[in-house]
Amino acid sequence: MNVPTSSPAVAPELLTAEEHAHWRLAWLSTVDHKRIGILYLIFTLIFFAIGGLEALVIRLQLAVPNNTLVGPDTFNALFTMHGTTMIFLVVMPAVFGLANYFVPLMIGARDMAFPRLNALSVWLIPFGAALLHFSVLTGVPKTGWFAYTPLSETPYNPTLGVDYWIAGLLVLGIGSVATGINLITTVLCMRAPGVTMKRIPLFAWINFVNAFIVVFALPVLNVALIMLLMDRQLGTHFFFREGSPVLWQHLFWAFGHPEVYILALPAFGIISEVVPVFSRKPIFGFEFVAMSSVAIAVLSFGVWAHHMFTVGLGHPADEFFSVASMLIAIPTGVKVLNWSTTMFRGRIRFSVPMLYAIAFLIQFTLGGLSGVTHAETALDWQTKNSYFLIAHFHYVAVGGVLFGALAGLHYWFPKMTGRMLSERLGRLGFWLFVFGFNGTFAIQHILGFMGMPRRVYTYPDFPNWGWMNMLSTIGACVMALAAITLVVNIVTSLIRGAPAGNNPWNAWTLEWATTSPPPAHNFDALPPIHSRRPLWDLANPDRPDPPVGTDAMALPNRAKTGLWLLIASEAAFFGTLLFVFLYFNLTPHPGPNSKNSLELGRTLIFSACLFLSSFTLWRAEAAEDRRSRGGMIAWLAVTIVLGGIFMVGQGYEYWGLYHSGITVSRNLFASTFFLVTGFHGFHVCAGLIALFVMLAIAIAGDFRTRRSPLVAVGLYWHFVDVVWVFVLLIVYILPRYLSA
Amino acid sequence: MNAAPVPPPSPTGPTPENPVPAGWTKLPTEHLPPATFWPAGLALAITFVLWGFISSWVVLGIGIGLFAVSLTGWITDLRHESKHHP
Repeated sequence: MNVPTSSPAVAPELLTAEEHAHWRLAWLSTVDHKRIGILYLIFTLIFFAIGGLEALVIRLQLAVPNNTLVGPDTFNALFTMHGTTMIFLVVMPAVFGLANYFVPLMIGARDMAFPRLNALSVWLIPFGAALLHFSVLTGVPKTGWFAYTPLSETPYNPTLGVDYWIAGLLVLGIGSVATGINLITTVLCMRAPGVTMKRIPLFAWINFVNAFIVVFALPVLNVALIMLLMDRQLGTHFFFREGSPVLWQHLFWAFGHPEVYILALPAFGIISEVVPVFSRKPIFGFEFVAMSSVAIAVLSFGVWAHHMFTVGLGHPADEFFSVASMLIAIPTGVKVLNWSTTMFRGRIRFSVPMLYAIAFLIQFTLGGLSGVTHAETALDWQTKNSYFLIAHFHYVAVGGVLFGALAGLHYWFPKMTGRMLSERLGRLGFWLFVFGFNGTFAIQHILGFMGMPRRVYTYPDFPNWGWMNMLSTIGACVMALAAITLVVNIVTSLIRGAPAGNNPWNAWTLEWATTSPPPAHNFDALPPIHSRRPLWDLANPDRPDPPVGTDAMALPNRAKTGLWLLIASEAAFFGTLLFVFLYFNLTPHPGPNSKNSLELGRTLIFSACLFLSSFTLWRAEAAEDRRSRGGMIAWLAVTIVLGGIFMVGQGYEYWGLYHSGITVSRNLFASTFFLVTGFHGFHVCAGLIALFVMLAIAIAGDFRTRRSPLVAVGLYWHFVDVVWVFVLLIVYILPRYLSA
Repeated sequence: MNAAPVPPPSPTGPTPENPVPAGWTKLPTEHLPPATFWPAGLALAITFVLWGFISSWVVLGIGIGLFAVSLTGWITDLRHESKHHP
């Protein structure tokens, strides 16, 4: 007799009976935002264990002076993989996981806007991670998570480790951008009646704002990674020899500093939910918390070079980035004041989520203050390469972000599983985390001031360095104990935790207005929604919150919104590519360059075909409006032919350049030319495939009775054409005048 | 004439026995996409394509093939859904 294999660790409430019998496949094929959220969190836990073990070995090596537990190469590999793992495979999946699970619930939606895209994003995490860790077999990268060039170039890191690191991050980057687009579209297009933009909870709002940073920052990293991969695989020299190592730093930190806020903002969102609920007060200054998040998002794109003060960018640049970096402390400080004032005179319940929130508040403020010191250029020069910076960063990333995520995990675990976490084990884990974290990192501030440099695998027996490092290592071991306590708490609570009920914390937002765990469709019904705390209004009909705004709301079209966001992200990608072209070609190169190698007349002819294809696609849309199926098919076919002619023209140009000896590695002009036009050509090909699919489906008769998604596909095609206008101007025309 | 007083909405929230408490607004039925393996397949395909760029043409070929199959499956799912749940 066949006995169905059931999951031993998954509570029966999480799966239907059928899915319980085939639970492995059910999780692999799920498109439910809640299960996808849980998958994110499971991946987080797995990689937290891996990244944590790496950190533990780092600390054991540094526990005593002149230690020989691991050699310098292994140490470099360890801190490279530790940083990469913790940022891309732990904190990002953690914040995406919580956002995935709770943003749709908080806005009364049934799912994310694009459930299948959501599933794609989550599976890119383990596959990207596998690629990243495949480097263990080929030679682990030893470049740090920032992969500074020329250290990360082939002559200095000849194994394939860096290539796998790049490929892994590109895979993860694609998933992150898709998640960002999905989150924004969900908030804009999937809100339940009554949930206006003014009424959405702060966690949903902050994740909405944060998703914009993801959509605009990740493409910059992707461009930099592709260029580094071209350097290593195709022999270009973007970042060394005649290229510029400083350009890598600019591109990396133009992504890297917004990334810090990509990690921190969702934690702010969690704290903005936990603090009011456990203080039994509405948040103080909702609008200030909301708008300071927007200010942080905008300013985060203007502070990257404070990571580069020691490069020597000159006084004007240093002063600009110094001021901008101090400015960003203001909206962050506003939030700290809001949370503190919310607690002031509140009836505070010191449950585990609130304990983590309070610890977050103290530790993050300390991390923020030490961060402001790095905005001061002269001080930055002294402390940048020391353990003071390690301490600062970890006070933000662990003391802030990780503690925020743990507050969220303890707060929402009952909703996700229908079971309460053990309060006793939770408190034990909390105190172990607090003592472990502060034991590890507080002392590193002093070590940094005493001159201990970061990224060194060992150190001489200088006075006091030994015991301070030993204390730091003991703290790391205590944190490991805390992590084990957390896992034990999760596992035991999943098996025999107390039933949670719908709303165990007497909270006020919509995720608590459904069962725990919620059904597949989230809600059968919603309570009346007139304010930001509908469940408070429900429980206190005699003193409800004042209504916020009116009930009127408009939900934009889901497909169009998603596509506009994709276009915005692609614009950031092409904007970066064109910036790179200008950076290297403002002064013409002595060898092949735009003026002496590109034939403008021929390019203008095949460009005309591309521009004409936008017109014919518009005619196809007009034909569909007139319900002329034949007209639509004909105009679509003409569009594909015109796009094809453009591609043939570009191929002919490449052929000619190749036969003139102008290959991608010839010089920086050739490298940037093939980079920009190659990626544009790739996008034209993708557009042609989309149009071809549309044509095939139209011929099959799918659009006889319903509208096609031609308008959405058309938006993408028109965008690709507009990009070519800029490519034509910047790559083909502008350099001729610069030469003159 | 005065209208009959409307009872206040239920503060207790939904239960499996009573999914629509008094005073709550029942939400319309909405089609949710069924489970599908194509997104996971496409994720694997993207990974193989990028792996192929730095390893071998065989891996790249497998990635492109898997990409084509997964994308076709995904589009077929969408077509099926739009026919039956317009």
